[in-house]
Amino acid sequence: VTRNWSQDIAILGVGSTAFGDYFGASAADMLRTAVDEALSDADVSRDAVEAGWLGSYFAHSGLSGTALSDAVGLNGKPVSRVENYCVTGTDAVRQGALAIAAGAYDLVLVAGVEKLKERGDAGIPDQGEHHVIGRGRSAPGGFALSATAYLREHRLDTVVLDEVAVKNHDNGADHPKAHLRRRLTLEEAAAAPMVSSPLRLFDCCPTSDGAAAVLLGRPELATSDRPVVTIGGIGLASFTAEPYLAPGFDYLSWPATVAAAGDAYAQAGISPHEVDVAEVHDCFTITELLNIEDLGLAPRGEAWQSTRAGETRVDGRIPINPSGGLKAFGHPVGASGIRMVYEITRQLQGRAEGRQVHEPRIGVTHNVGGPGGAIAGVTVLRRIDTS
Amino acid sequence: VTEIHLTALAAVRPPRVLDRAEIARAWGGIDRGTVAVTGPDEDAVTLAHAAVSALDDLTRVGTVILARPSRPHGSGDGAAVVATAAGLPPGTRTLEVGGSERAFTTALMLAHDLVLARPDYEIVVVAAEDAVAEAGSDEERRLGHGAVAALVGARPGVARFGPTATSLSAAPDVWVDAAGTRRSAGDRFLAATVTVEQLAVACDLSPELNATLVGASAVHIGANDPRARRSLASRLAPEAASTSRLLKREGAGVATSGLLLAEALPSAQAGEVHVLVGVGSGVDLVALTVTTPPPDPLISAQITPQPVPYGVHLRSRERMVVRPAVPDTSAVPAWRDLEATLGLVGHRCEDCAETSYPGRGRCRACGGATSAETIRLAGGGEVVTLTTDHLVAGVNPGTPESPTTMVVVQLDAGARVFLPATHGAELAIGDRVQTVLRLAHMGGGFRNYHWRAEPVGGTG
Repeated sequence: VTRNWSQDIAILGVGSTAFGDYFGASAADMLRTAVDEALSDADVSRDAVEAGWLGSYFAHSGLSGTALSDAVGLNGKPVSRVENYCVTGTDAVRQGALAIAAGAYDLVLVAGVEKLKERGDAGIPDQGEHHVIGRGRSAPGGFALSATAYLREHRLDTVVLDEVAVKNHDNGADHPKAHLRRRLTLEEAAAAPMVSSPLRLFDCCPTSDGAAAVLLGRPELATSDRPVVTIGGIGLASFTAEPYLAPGFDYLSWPATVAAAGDAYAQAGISPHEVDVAEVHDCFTITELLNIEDLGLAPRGEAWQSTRAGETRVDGRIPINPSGGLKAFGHPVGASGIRMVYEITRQLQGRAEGRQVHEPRIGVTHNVGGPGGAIAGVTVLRRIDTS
Repeated sequence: VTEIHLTALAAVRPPRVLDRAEIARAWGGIDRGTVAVTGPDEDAVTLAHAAVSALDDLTRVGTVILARPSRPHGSGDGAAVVATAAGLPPGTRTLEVGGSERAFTTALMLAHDLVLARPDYEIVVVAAEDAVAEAGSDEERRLGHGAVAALVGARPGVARFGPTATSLSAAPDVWVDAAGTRRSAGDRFLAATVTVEQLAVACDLSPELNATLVGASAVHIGANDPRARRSLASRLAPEAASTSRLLKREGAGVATSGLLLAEALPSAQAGEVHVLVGVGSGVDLVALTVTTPPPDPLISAQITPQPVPYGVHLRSRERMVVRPAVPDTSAVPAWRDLEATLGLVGHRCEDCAETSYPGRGRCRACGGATSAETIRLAGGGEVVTLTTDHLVAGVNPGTPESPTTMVVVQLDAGARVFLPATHGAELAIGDRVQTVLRLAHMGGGFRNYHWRAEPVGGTG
């Protein structure tokens, strides 16, 4: 378990582009938009940034830290690129947080970007597959293996998946920056083309362009006009990226999420029952169900019941993905984890217009990535009431 | 050692069949019956491997000879692929022979002679036919696919070698024209006149074999046309003309005589003489005296024939010939991982005893060190989970094989693998499957093979 931070880390400002098809904007253009919003939100100048981390999964968004330093003008500053499957964004936040916790800097920039729409691939290409053993892998196919197992284990039909999609599309329709701002019916979801059985089109998140940025720093640098949000804990865990070869892997849970959540909750000194709102990694509908259970937000095998009962809606017991999630907000890989911090920070500060959860105090963000949930990252964010 | 034996015999046929009437209708004409053909993920090498794997005991094998048609597209050493996938050691000598449809009988005679010189080891002779005939040609309806594997050695088994004979004659090839009409007339001439003459020459060259023909119980002739088989057999041994339920209206090219033998053996009596006749650029005669007839050497013999529409067959057949290279592949990892991929071997953990695949170096269960000793994993298993993935084309994007069903299999041998299901298979969690060698992809003109999960009891 990670030892507690030696000092508090505040989220000083957040920014995000709208996610979607942005053929006219380059990765650098999108980074500038997100970073400028975060700087403005924190009311600090670019010169105050002491170090930067860029989360980016694919080479076309820019190898090395120069993709960020060139884009926003951080010449002469230490800037690094982070890549860790779909946990890239959360890990970039973690790198920045560790640097503040170490006392090395007072204010750092963490940004993420991905330009998926200009690749022309069907879905996210599976990079680094083995030429023989890894053949036949696809992102939806990997998660479909869990969907097949979950539906069989709990004797369910695919309606439980469609219900997740309908809920997240409802939320995305209300978010001005979401990629898919359209509501969905159960009938539409059930009739959509099959992608990787049992996952159909609306079980899958879109491939999106997008960028997000957060400024992390010492809490005393926070602006005084709103509640301060601090990082209560960040957990990260790696398991196998080849779960289909792992003896005993049951496809009903991702051990990486369980481990990362356990670490983050321990750092924050909370139990999952204290979580008021969560942005979880719903790259596919089945993923949201397993995440809710892995994060301890619903008992094992009951996430579908929580969803059906409306507990995960914005006005429910434990709102999940009030932004619309990856499912409707979009999933530009390197930006997603940072976009979640953007969303939860605004929720905790009461600034989530049109989708505001009722007075949350503790929020969680969660990424899980790689084949079969190889890596997971969980952050616990906490509202600190000043005055 | 003076007695050489056909120690074991195994034969396979692909389950897919074309309706000859449908082909005849497409090109004008009438016909009946079926012809068995390979599917898009099968070829001579995968058929040969299936037949070799069905031989009981390969521990003494020193050489594998693969007889396959030289057309239309051999690449690499298929015999080496068969030997590696069958788990034979790297010291095994492999050889691929082709060029004539009597390659099987010629290879049997070579094996016989080799064992005389080297009685300490056994030889696998496997014949596999997957030739693609020209669409619309007579041959298309006559040439089926299949494979037969024979284990030749000093160990008694199915039959004992008797006398052999051969006569060579380079086949005249002036009979082929674009319309194929003279080809047909030429085939009849070659079968009815030239081959009979060659038979006579061979018999003259081996009076001993000639004598055995008199009492032969069956003569199995490696000609594709059943009419030619019957007429040739009646010239050789009038009472012994080989009849076949399996190859009623078709042949199986280089595997024909072996398939006929495999079909006849279960009802044969000890002491019977069966003669294999290889035909093509000459004639081979191999006499065998039955010792212990096997119960059923013909495995997966059209257990459940799967009719394939002619149009689908034509499309997938084209794919057999033209496959785009697979991007981002390198010969280096392909070579490094060959034992794991083609050999399908795993390793056992020295700490927790779990078997991992691929397991060289570390255990997938506990992270401990694995033993250097390899464990053969090919065989049965159970479906853990699966998806039918429209983003995955098992062999080749954009072909009839997308979507591909991808399956996580818990193998009986202890490890887990993630494999495509065989073409057209329908599976569910908990189903029993077996690993079978199939075409994986072709890159840069080279055929690559890997394993697939096949429902137990055959596809379908």
